Amino acid sequence: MLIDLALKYIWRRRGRALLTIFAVAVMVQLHILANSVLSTYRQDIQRQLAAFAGKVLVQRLPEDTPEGAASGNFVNAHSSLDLATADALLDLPGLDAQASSAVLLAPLARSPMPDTTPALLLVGITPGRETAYLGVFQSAAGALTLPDAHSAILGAGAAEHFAAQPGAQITLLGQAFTVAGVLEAAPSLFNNAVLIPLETAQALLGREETVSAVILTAAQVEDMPGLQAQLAAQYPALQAATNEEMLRSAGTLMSQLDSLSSAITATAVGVGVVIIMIVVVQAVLEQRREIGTLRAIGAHHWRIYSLVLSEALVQSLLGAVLALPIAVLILRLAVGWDKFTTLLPTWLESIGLAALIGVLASLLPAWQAVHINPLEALRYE
Amino acid sequence: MNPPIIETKDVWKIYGSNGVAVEAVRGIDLAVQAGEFCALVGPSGSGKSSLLHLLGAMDTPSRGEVIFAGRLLAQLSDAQRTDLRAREIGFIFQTFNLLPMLTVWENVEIALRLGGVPLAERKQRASALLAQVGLQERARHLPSSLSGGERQRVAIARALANRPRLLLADEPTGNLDSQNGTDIMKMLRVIAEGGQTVVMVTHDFRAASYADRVILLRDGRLRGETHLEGAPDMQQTVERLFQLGL
Ligand SMILES: Nc1ncnc2c1ncn2[C@@H]1O[C@H](COP(=O)(O)OP(=O)(O)O)[C@@H](O)[C@H]1O
Ligand SMILES: [Mg+2]
Repeated sequence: MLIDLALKYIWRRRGRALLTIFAVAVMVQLHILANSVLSTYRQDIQRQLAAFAGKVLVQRLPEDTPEGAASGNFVNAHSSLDLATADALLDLPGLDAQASSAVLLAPLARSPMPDTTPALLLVGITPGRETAYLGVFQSAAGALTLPDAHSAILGAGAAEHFAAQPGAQITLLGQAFTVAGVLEAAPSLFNNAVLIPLETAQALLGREETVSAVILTAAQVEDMPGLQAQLAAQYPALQAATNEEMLRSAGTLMSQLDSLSSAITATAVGVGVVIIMIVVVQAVLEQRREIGTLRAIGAHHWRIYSLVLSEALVQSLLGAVLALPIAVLILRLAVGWDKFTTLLPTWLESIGLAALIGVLASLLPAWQAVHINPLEALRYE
Repeated sequence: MNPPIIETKDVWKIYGSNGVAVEAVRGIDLAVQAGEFCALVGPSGSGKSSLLHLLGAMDTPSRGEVIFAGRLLAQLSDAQRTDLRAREIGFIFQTFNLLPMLTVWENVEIALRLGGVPLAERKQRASALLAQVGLQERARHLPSSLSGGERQRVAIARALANRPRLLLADEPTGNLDSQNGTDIMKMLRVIAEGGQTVVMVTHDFRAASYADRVILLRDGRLRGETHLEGAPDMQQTVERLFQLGL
């Protein structure tokens, strides 16, 4: 192998090599960024759907709601049920009453990404039935029950937003509330939630006659299919979604996310390949005489290939190494998210991607280099 | 008599550039015995370099045969010809052709690597080769810091690295002053006396006088040859070549 020679050639044009490495790093960090953000989002959706296992969410969407509008998105601001229907639903047999409740949902602050959980989500819920919404999640501080009309339970993210602990006062829509408890860290639907009593929420929002949805929990898991069948028969106009159905419709959104991230990755690879190819083609032009000399003194084609491949690979791999700190910096500074569990695996995957970039980029210059004749060594002037 | 180490049979090299055919080598029959020190002389453009490239498996003839140690070069694959250049044929260039990014020692080591010599042996042999050409002190230097004569000595060490049976040199003294040129010729003569075959192209009669056999080329054809005996004698060499019709 002629890797040592390749390193020396790169060193000889280190200014250009640095620019190349930086350009590749920017491309690879694009892949890391897109993948980390999208797969973190994906995990969040999956975890919150998992939190709804064993529950049925009953909503009534307006006629003109586009197909899949609710996909992966539990909160639907357009859903509306009248109180009589809600009460009738809650009277169905075989329910775990404690874990079933009507809810009124209203976004208080928008999310930076479209079609995702609002940054702050107001959840009106019947006091004593908080677990209908909170499910398996535990308290980080205080109690997860609403003791009076002007008390609130905050998700961890919401608590951070208000900088509030149990006992603190917060103001929602002009009304003061006392924080009763704070939830442990959880998916965004819970993390961003602010739970207050249902009637208080209805009064504040001017929606005394309606709720957004009803969350039903079967007393026995085996009763779920029966409950669903009953809902379908008695309330054909309502949408009753279990987490399996939500999961299925979320699949559409997730596959869109996947194709988006694939498109970004493909662009990053394509541009990376072109950048390195240009640089290595130029390098081979400059090395013609030396490559000719190597051929004249007995270097096989594969050695010339390995020389060119090494030049491409060293630059693409160094680019991938540099991409991680760039991605972390951008995520920290621009987006402010520091909980990217998928950053490291994505980066490791990027190393493989960089290897692919190097191999693809070396094909054209290697083909040119391999065809350099030993007599090129003797052409001077 | 042993078969020649290198032999050509009616070999031609015709270059075609811009529709004009240049017949650089026109039907040469040549046989060089193992251990010979042979000089190819002739005016500029007489086809000396073209012939040497054919002998060195660096180029392929337009017609005719080149036979290296009984093997017909035309029947070898590119990889086999590359192997020949790596292990059995050493080449010394007028312009030295050292790799400028590599140190003197690395320039020799890389030839050993191309010859498939294992790492441990390479280290020891590269140093020994540099000692042989008197450059062990300059091992860590880059070629750019060496004089022309020193560079050519590195090139000789590199050419000798894999103990080739045939050493080819194209105007090895062409870019050197006469003192350095003489040193290089003495070195080539020692190599030939050690049993390796040397074929050298030159238009320098002083250089040619170090050979055992001087062959005159003109217009791509052999015009005669003469055998030299005793110590190098430029006067005698020139006289002999005039007799051949230089
Ligand atoms: N690659 C080439 N393409 C075309 N013509 C060439 C090439 N190499 C050499 N020639 C021509 O072939 C003739 C012989 O050249 P060369 O073998 O270099 O002679 P010498 O080494 O004796 O000076 C010259 O006329 C030269 O111009
Ligand atoms: Mg010449």
